[in-house]
Amino acid sequence: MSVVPSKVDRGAVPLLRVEDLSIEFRTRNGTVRALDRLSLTLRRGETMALVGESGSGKSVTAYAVMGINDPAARVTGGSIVFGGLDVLAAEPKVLDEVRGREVAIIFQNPRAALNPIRPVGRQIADILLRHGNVTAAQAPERAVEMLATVRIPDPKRRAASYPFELSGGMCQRVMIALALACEPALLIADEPTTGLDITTQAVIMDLIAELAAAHHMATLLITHDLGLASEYCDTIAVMHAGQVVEIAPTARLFGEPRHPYTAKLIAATPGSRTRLETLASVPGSLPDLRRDDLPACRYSARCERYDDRCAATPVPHHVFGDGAFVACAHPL
Amino acid sequence: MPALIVLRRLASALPSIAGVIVVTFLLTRALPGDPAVYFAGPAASQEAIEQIRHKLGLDRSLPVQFVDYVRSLAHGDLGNSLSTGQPVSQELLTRLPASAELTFLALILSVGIAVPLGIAAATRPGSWVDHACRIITTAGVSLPVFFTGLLLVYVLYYLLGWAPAPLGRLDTFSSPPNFHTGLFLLDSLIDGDFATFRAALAQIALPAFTMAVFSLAPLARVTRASMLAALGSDFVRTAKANGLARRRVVYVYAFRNAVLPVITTLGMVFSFLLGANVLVEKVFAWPGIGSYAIEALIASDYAPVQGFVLTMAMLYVMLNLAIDLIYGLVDPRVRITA
Amino acid sequence: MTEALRHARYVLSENPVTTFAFGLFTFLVLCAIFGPSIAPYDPLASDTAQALHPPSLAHLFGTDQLGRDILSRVIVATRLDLGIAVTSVVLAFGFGTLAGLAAGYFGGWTDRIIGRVVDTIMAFPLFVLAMGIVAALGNTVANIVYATAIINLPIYARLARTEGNVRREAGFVEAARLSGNSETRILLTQLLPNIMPLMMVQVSLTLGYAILNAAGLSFIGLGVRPPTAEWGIMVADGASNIVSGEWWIALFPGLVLMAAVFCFNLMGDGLRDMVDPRQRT
Repeated sequence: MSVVPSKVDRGAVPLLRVEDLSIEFRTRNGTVRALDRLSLTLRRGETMALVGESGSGKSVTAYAVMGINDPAARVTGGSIVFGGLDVLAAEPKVLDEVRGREVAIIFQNPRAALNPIRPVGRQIADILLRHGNVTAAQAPERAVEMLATVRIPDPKRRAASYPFELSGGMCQRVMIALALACEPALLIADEPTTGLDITTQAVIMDLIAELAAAHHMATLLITHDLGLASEYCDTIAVMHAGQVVEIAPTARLFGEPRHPYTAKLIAATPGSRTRLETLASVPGSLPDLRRDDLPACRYSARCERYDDRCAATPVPHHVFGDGAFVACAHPL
Repeated sequence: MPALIVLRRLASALPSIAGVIVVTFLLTRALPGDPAVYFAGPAASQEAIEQIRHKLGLDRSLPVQFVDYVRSLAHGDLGNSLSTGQPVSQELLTRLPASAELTFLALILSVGIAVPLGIAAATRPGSWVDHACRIITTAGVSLPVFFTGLLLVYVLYYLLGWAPAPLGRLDTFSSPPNFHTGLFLLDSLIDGDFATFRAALAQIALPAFTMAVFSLAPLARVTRASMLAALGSDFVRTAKANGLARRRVVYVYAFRNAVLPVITTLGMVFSFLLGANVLVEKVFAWPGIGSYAIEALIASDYAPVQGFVLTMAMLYVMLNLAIDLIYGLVDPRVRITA
Repeated sequence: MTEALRHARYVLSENPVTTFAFGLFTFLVLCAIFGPSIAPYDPLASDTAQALHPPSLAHLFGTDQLGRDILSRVIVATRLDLGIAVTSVVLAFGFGTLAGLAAGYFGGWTDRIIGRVVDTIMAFPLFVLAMGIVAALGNTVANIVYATAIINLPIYARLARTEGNVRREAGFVEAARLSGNSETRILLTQLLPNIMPLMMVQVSLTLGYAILNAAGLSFIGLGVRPPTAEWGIMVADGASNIVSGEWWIALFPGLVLMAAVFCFNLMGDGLRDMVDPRQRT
């Protein structure tokens, strides 16, 4: 099986550039403006966390990069360039080649994300046969090798197992094997540890980190857990209601948060040194994204630093070195 | 392990079989008035009636009668037909292949149309195929099968002359093929007798199609619904996210999962089909067990009717068992945990 | 109550098809009630001079072999067919729902016995069972009603049983129990109203199936006897004339039969959308 030359240049700098991306969803109850001029960049080998509350648009962003959003989603502006490839303008056939091969994703709830009536080894082999340089005879062996790479015990026997025979942690390892089968340049992990117990969470995250480092793979980790993000990621991008409010290297973000929302999130995150009583909650809730009259900065309603300038378009971006920035009229 | 699954399923069918036997027994005793009079026939003398009463054991107590009934069943004795004097079981056996051929051809046609239609409707939501599927599904369950049959006869035979006269399994010029299975289509193919094959096919086309139209609706509905569910599932999202080819996603990932509820629905579909069989056999003068029962009904000949009900019920239990087994073998979640 | 009506009106306005079905249903009910008064001719009056006339201004649906006006017979048959269907569904619903609720709620032996009875009914192809019952009990309309009721019972029993099971330990049941209500009272006043919406959907769908069943039985000669006007038996009458080209004798009763069943199915689907939009197909 011949390998189609890739349309994605892994050496591109940056590997992924999302610029001013705006997406809306048409639903029965109105149009949801899910993303508003979202920008972020990711370099080869970099680990970035996309952090925010449920409903802040993290998954929508990830799915947009892969081009797997629901058909009800419409891109109303902006661009996504992955390794030189314009994802939004690319033909479906090109995207099919890229998916699974240059960029891969692992989902939360891994058991539901695997085909329940197909042995896991075959599912890995399917991907290898689709994208990889393997023959039908070699595929099963390579699948077993992948299972060994993600440290599933007794991989040869396990390759014939069905998802319902595996634990949640093992299912997630299988998902990682599926994603990494063709050694993509970018791995997107959408809440990979939700639903797993604490020890398994750590093991899975360690595995991802190790494999990413080994293959010089960029990782985009989507999570609502700031603590998890701080442990595994170089850079953190904080999202609120479809907008990126701050991006900064991890240490600096925690040391010197520049956006009021970031500061609140950090204060609400339990760590080894915080006590339960000192944990603050973030007041208010996400605005209704179906409204026509959303202010330019969607955090306005919950912010104590709010004034009239915050409703003006657009929200001022203050850019610092190495891609860090904050979108706020009154940064800390 | 499969052997164990088979045995366990067989065991679970036993209560149904028992229930069927009890109910059919009760039905033979529920005849209005004196059952002996009915089994002896309208022309019987008082003496003949008493003879029948004694012969059929109707003068004994109910539990004893039941034991006798079960014993006769075990010997394949379903009583004798009043009008022909022949044993009912023999007549049923002779006519069974006709009904079986019709029903199975109808099922194959039905599945052959409904499943692709359901898949197409699910993979092209909002298209004309999707709308056609919805209309067929809703309208299909409303069609009285005997009326559809008559309409088809009127249009395709009387008006257009495309179909042959609804006179049974073969037209007047053809003779039945040599007996191998009793299914004319198969038997004529086995003999390489294409003329008879064509004649048999021409005769069975319309009745089979009538029955197929009837069972099309529930099958198409279930296929479409379960394909939609499968296509929207998390694991299909994973498959798409990994760039798998569309054919593989639709057929290997989505369809193989979607087919499971369809198999389960086949049980209900068979219930419809076996009932529709009777009506279609009347419309098309098809010499199967359905028309046998209808003729017996008109003649107030009760033994054949009860034999027919029992046979149909047993067939149905066996069919459901087969469906259960197939499902158990196809779905690894059942196969492995069993 | 007004909230429900408002919701109903909203769904109807969104669904012209369902509204049409309700309209047709009303029309059929009116035909059933006023049938004999609005029929142009006496449905039983035969006039051999007028036999086998195709549809004309005098006889909109034509006449049959005995010269009877088919339109009148079709109209009058509405009462019989709807009557059979409604009676059998009411019986099936009544006995089935109570049995199912009891089985799910009390569990144990009640559940096992009722379950066994329901399973035995479902072990038969339903139409065949109906044939057997009518053949055994006697060829009367009443027996068609009983047979149709019996074969439709399992659906209600199973639905109700699931509900009974689920609600057995539900909060409001516990509250009722604690305030001293007897078990039967709980069953009737608490559980029953909760499953009514689902049951109504089922009733509508079963009505369609019951009409088909009754017509099918009459078609093969069970239950209704000539000269009674009933859709199924009229189609049977016209069957032998189809091959000689007199299409109207079987066509009109058949079409009206189809329309009635279609109407009930559409209503059932519409009700289902109102009650549980998640079930939409």
